[in-house]
Amino acid sequence: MQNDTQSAFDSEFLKKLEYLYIVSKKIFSGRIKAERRSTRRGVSVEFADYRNYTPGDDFRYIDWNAFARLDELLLKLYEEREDLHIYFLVDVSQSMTYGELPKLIYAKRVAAALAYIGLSNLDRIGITAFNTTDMNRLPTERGKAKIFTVLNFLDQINGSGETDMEHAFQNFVHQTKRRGLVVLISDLFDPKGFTAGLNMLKFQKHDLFVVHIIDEKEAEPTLLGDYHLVDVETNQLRPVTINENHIKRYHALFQKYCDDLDRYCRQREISLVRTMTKAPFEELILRIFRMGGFVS
Amino acid sequence: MNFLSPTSLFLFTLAIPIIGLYILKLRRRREPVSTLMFWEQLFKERQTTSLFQRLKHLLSLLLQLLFLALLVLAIARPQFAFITKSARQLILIIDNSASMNAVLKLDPDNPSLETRLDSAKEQAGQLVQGLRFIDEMTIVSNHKQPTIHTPFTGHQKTLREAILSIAPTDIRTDLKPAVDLAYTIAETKPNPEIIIMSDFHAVTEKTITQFQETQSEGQATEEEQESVEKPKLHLIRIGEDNDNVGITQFRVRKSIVNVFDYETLLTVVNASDEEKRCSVELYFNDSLFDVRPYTLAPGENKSEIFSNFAFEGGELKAVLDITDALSSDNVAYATLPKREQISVLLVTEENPFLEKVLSVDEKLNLSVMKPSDYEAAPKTAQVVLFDRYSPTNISDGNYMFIYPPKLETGAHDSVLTWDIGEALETPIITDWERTHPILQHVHLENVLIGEAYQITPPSTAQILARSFESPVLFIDVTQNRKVVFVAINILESDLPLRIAFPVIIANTIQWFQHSEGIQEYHLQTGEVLRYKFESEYLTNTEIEQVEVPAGRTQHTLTVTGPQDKSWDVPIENDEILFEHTQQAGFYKVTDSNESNEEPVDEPISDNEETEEPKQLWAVNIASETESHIGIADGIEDLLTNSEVLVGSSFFRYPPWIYLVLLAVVLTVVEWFLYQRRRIE
Repeated sequence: MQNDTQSAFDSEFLKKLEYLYIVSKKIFSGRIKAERRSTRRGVSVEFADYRNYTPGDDFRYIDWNAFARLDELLLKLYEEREDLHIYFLVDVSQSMTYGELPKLIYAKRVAAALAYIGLSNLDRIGITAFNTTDMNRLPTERGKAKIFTVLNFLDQINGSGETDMEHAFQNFVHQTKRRGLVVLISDLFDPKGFTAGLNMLKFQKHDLFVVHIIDEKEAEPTLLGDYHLVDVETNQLRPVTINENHIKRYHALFQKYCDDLDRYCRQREISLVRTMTKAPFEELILRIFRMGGFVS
Repeated sequence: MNFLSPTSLFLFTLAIPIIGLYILKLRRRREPVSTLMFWEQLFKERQTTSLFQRLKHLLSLLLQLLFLALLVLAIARPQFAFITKSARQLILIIDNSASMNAVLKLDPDNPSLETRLDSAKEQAGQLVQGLRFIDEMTIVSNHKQPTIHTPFTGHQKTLREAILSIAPTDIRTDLKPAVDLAYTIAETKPNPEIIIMSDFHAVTEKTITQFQETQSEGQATEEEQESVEKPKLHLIRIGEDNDNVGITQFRVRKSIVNVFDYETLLTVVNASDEEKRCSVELYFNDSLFDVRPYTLAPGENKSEIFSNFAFEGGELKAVLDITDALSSDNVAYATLPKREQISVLLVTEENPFLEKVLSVDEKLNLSVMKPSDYEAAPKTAQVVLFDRYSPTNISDGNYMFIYPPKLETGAHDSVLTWDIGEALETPIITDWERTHPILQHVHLENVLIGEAYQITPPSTAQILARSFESPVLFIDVTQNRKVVFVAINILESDLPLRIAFPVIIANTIQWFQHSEGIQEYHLQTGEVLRYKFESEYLTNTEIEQVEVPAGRTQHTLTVTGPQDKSWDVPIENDEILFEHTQQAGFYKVTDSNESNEEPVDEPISDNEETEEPKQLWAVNIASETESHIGIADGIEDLLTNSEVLVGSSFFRYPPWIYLVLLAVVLTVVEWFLYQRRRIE
């Protein structure tokens, strides 16, 4: 495994985390106070609505001015402030270990960075590492100090198994009753397609943010000649003889796949960011900030 | 099928390693990929069965083995009997006579410079290009002496260079020598074919009959052809009928009336179907001195004689001012020699009548000598008059004996074979040859003769005047000697007092000179220029000596022709023979003043002249048939289209080339199939 020999979180990474946090503070100054408006009514300073007084209500919320004008008891309602739940779904299938810089390490760094910023904003962070068979969960944590728990969790997960997003997300939605922001970090190479899994999350009213990680060799393969292609997830062999025409057609197919994903996300208001592992992950984080959607 | 290099067939053993390498399967490299879903989708359309895979494998092997087989066969150089048997031996005759210089199309608005010879060369080039690898060709130009420009060869570059080397000439058309040569060559070759490219404007009936016989034999069955091996004959006509007007004669000769004057004969012919108006410009040394207009009916020729020229010793040129198909017959050349004085020696004791008559003629260079001085004096005079004197012997030359004394028997030369008899008493001239040049315009009636004698002339003599008793005037002409004998003592007659006397003397001098014509300085193109001179010339003048390879020293003269082209010609037996008179124009013979490293008889260019020419020749086409440039009657049915001969043939190249081409095509096919993954 790549992460056996290559640590995702070295000291350099931690420095970058702090830097990203400071940058995020500057970008979202005055807007991100680790608070998120809730649809539920509660106690806060933001007026939301009136309702008629019913016996037993707290007198402190009666609007006496309205009573003076209208001779009717009206109760003032305020928006309730609640913590944001951010769920990171990290694909840990074997395909995520592919590449010179394994996609899984890149995914871990992205998840860790976003989690650190979330924790710093007093959001609740939960991480789920999924593949076909296993689902490793880190329960929701809050507070900046929990970052080390997050890092330890991420450091311990390894890539294995196949990708089956529908099955994995079905388990996730069953176990997660509270809606929140779901950040999916994956290569989305699911033989059954990506739509079933993403639909599952969308139907559960989760806000969805997809980080699509691909390796350069997947987008632009340089293979020419006779090969036995080995699927790293299934170990399936495919004897092929590749020429320039095949490479052109592969590009077309891969581009169509990406275009389909883009169109799907755009139609369902799903934020999508695509990156290659050769791109520095901090640039990706900043792109995510600029896109919005991760925090609103 | 035979092979020129059968040992090359051992290269077929290369199939063994090819098959061996094919049996060995290459191990595919394993390449992990994150997902196969794109690759599966990509190759889904190309799913093949294992049987087809094996076939693909086999097809690839077969293609490579076929490729090897083609290359090995190509290296072995296969020869097929049915191809080699059909090899042709082509004898191509290209007519380069004067009429072939006619332009192809006569269009005044759009003048074209392409001549019939150019067209013939072009068509010959196409023939060469169409030769098959087994065919061989020889190129013959229709010179007066037919020239073989290249022996039989199939090398196209050599043949093309030979065709290009054929230069235009102004020589009269005569196909017969070249045709005879071609037939002679054809007899020694298998499957011969004779191709003649000409305008066929001047073909004799005999030649046409020969062509007809050959072509009828060429249509014989194959068995008959094999038995007699007659050549096939193809006549390719170059050019079309065009209008032409030409000068067919332009010659200078001594005047019949006056030997000291020249007259020029000019003949112009209209060889077209329309009336032509033209003018002839006459130049002397490139200065125009006369223009004569002519109106010529179709086919008409007009002749005109010009005489009494006020000038002498130079170049005469007649230029026809008309635009027609053949320009080379629009110019004619002639030489007008200098009127040189005739040296006359009078050997006499005293004869004032003769001296006076001879001295008044300014064209004569008279010298008088006593008989006693004659024997010791040099004999250089062109005409010698012996007055009452006879030398003991005479050499070749012109002599007039007037009443010579009778010599003792055996005291004179055997050439003086007349026999003088008894004296005659007052003879009367009764008869004389009025038409003879010596006695033209002369009346000898009633001439009083005081002293004469009987004479018995030699058997070869011609009696011009006689009395009752004896001849009084006869001539005796041998090969190099002319003798006029007068048996009258003119001092004892009234002849010197008559008008006839100076006329007879003048006529005699002219008659002596009549033999020195000037026709030899006018040649037809292709004739040999022969220049003979005195043997003393070599010793008295500084003539260039050229070292010949044998180590001998050879004297040369320079002949300069049209366009200042010059040749050094060796002198042999006091004369030069020059045969390169293929272009009409003036040819000058001069001394070679510059050192010449070139071999004898080779053309030299830009050879400057510093001396006056020793002799000038005028060379002309001078042929009426050459000016009629239309096709001769009776030959049109025998013509062949050159495109038929050029026709494509599959075996134009040797089989190994086709094998190599096939191998190349196979390589392309294999590459295509491999790229398309039809084979592996």
